[in-house]
Amino acid sequence: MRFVYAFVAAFVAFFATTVAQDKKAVNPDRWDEATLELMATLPVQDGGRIKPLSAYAAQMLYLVHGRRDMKLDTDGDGKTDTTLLPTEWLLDVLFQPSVAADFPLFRIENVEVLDAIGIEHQSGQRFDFDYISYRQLVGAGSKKQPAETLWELASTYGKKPTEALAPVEAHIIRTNQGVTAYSTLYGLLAPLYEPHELVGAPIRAIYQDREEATFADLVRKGSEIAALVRKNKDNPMDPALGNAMSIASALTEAAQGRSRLAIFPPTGVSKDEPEWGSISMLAESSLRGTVTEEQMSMLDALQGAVSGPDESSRMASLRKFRNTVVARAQLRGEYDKVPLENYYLAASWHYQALHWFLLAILVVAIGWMAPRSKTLWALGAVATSIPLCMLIGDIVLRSIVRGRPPILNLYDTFLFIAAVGVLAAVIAELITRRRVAIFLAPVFGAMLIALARAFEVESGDDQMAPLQAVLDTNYYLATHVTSINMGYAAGMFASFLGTAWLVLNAIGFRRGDEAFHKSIVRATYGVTAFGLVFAVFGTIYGGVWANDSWGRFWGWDPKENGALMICIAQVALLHARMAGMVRDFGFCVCAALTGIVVAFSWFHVNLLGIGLHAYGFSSATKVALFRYYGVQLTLTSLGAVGVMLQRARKPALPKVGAAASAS
Amino acid sequence: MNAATAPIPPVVPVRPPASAARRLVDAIGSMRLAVWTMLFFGVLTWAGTLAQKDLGLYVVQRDFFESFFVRWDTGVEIADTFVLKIPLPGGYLLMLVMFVNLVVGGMLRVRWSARNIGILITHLGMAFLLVAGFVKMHYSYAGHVALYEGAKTSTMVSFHDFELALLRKDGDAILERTVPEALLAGSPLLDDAALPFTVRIGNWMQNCEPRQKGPMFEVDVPVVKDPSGAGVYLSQMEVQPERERNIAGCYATVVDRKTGAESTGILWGADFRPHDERRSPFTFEADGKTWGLDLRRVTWDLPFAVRLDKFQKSDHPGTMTPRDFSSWVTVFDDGAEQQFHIYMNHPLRREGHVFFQTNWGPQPGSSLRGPPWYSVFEVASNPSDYWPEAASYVILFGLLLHFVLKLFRYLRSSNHNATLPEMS
Repeated sequence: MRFVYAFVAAFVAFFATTVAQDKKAVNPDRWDEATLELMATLPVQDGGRIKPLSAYAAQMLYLVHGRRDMKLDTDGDGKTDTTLLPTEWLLDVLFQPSVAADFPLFRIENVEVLDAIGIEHQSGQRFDFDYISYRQLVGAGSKKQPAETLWELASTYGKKPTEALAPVEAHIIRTNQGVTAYSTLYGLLAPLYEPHELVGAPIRAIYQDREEATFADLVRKGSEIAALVRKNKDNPMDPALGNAMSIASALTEAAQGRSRLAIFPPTGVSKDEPEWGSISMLAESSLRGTVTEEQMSMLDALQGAVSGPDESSRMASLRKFRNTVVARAQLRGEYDKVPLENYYLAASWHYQALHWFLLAILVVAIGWMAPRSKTLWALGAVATSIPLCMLIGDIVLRSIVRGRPPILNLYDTFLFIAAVGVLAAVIAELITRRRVAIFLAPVFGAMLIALARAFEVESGDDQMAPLQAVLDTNYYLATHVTSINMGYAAGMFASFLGTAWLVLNAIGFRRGDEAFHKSIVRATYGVTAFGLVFAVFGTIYGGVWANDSWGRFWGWDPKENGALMICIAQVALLHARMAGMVRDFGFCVCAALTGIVVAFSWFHVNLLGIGLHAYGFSSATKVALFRYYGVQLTLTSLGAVGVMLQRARKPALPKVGAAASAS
Repeated sequence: MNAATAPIPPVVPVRPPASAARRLVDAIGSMRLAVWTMLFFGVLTWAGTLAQKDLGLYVVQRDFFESFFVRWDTGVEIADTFVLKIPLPGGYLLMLVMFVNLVVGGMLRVRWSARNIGILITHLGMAFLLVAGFVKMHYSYAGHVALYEGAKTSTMVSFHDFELALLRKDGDAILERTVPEALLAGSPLLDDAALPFTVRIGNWMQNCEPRQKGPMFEVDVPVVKDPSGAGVYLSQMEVQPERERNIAGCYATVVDRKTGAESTGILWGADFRPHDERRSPFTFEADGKTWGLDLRRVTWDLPFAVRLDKFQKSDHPGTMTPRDFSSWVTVFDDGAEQQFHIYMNHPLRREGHVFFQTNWGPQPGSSLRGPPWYSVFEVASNPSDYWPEAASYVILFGLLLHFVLKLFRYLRSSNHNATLPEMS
């Protein structure tokens, strides 16, 4: 790892000639729109699948920057002048590395991290985030590099159990992960930048007496260079060889290096040759003489894009590289969904829906001021339905891109549960027309989409990653996974409704309007019943899947137990209501607490680190989960106490006999 | 107020007091009992989930969910004096109560009317599901078969349980009798008048490994000589929560009935290689015959033989994420041969046994390296294999029917229309 940082530091120093003096001002050359659009749909193979470059860029930017865009101050006035989208940022990193090294990249939420790694800072703890640049981490200087200190600290803290980590320690580990990932990215095209001087007759003979060769030239003649090395293996220091050995070393180093992003599709069919080539793999293949003409042509174009004589020729080479890769990917049948995924990312419907949900909250809140206005009620319903449709569209688009049912991972559950919860709320509102469900719906939707975004940033993973073998069944993903998550959604929204009933009663909202409060209870009952149907079917069908996968219907695995607990909670609640054991108050208290059971099943069991579903763990998720428990318990308790106090204040009804006597 | 205007008290029909039997049936089938049972079951499930972290799945399943009562060790220390242990009804008891309550209250006592048809169907499905669980628990067994490419077997081996096999060489055949693990703890004496010797089992250990006895330390268990003459003893290891990771062991002392001669050996239940036919039992001579004692995982005969023809594993390109595990096997049954392809989520079902692709090896990082590869199949025999799936359809149909009818009834009722707010 030290070697990596030393290499990267040297690389940065190599490009450091044009560094702006003011750290805050950074002004990369802008890419034209046409090139950006083309490059966004360049297919790359990463994480076991083919994806557009824009998706790779977005994932990397999330991982290292915590956002899906980057705000730049180009003139040093402290204000944002331009915002880079992921593809533009990645192209800057690859093709303008010296400028990109000054981007405010790594998000620091705690200044103690800066203190720990030896980066000076002027202010104390801020309410917003600090961003430090790559140059600040690995820039050459007399002192120890902060990146090296960061790595050492992260290695030390990484030995601790996750739950024993202090927030600063966890932050240092996370930052180091981002720096490591970025180092790889930063050095991706590094071999292509430096021309190689050719010294000595033997090596010049290979290159028709040229004095210099690019990396692509080295790859083209890799087998001849390897043969020259083999021929002279007994006397490698022979002065007559010139720098043939160091040229061969450059090729070998590239082959063993970190330029691992697979951007060169093989010529064969995807079934027989599924793995794409990277710059390192091409360097390795060249030594064996197995680089195809087409791959060589791609590398030539990429080399031209890096070291072409002028801007226009570099852009022309870049477009040629992209078009050659796309043409091959199309022939291999691997390109069909790349433009669609790029569109999905650019459109970001769920993010648009988040804004619309916030607007809908406002619209519905205004509607509360005129409770008898049908127009405002309808407007609220429409304002909520628009983002709901966008969210459903987003989910459908994800499904089409992946060719799978809507839920494959924890991230998907947020979006799906948001959609189902809002849909259930809209239906409940159409039945009750009390503006409670329609008010809670956008709150629920916005909250879950925001959580999805936070989860995506925290995990830093590809949320469309291919499935593990055991999950590779669309039938059970469509039946068990979908229905169990519909159960989660309904359970969560019923909890919202129950909590709302408690809070509204506690504050005396519409005191005496029994029909209003009764309608919330009915909606809670209805949503609980809706959830029960899907939770029970999903749970049992999960057992059926387990019976086909692992040979047992039920194994008391934590995730299975969690699902069972939701079913039990909902069935017990409905039976208690039927038996008269709970009335409106008790029913809403229990429904509110069912949210905790749902959260336990949805996320907490994954954090236990045991069983067959121990995935998706992160310390931030755990913190968020316990915060939710705290908020839900507090709201339920305060609501319950408030309702009891309200009831205590309620004036006793006059006795029938007494009234009669008075008359 | 005068007598003419005084309200007339309602006439309350007087019911004869219910008999004790009637009250008992009422209580057994009551919805209150259903609610309390479910609440306890929810708490038990929650406790059993958390307890798995320390105890492991096997122990939790046995102690929490297949028991009548359990004392849940929460691990919470009260004032540094004692650990909080909460008594709870066990899963077996709760499911039994639930079943009786469901049948009595949810099927027999409930009014059989069109209004309740959904409830009746749902309860029928639930009862069927509980029966399926009961049959699974008492009449199923599961183990595994691990085969190298080209290897063939007609036995399956338990994941968890051990047995002591007494073997006797009889010409080319080997005859065997087995003693289950449950009888081996507590230093039992295996004494059968038909045998020319007795066997005393001692120092039973749930998890252990044989070690060489050095001159610099003493041990409190017998030290026996291995074939090279070195002293070997069984060293107790910490019992692992994942029971399949424990390797049991013990000492066996064979006493010849005629001569009274004793010989002591170590029995250790390790299985080094998948389906290793070349086991090394503790052997001895008695009555002119060669006998052996072998501690091994419980082994069952299959009604057919199976051979692994080929195993294939593929990853998603450029990653170590598995995309597919596949095994091609040949089944030999009554002289006939048939090929099958077993892969994830696509088991082989045959003659009451189901083969699932569950593992493979040698895994990266292990001491062995492939090829050759071996494939591991989980093998289950469960008479109620398909019952839960059928129950799930019944329950889904019942619930949908009940709640959809209920919703329509509500929407059509005057009660609903009366609660709608006035809007203009």
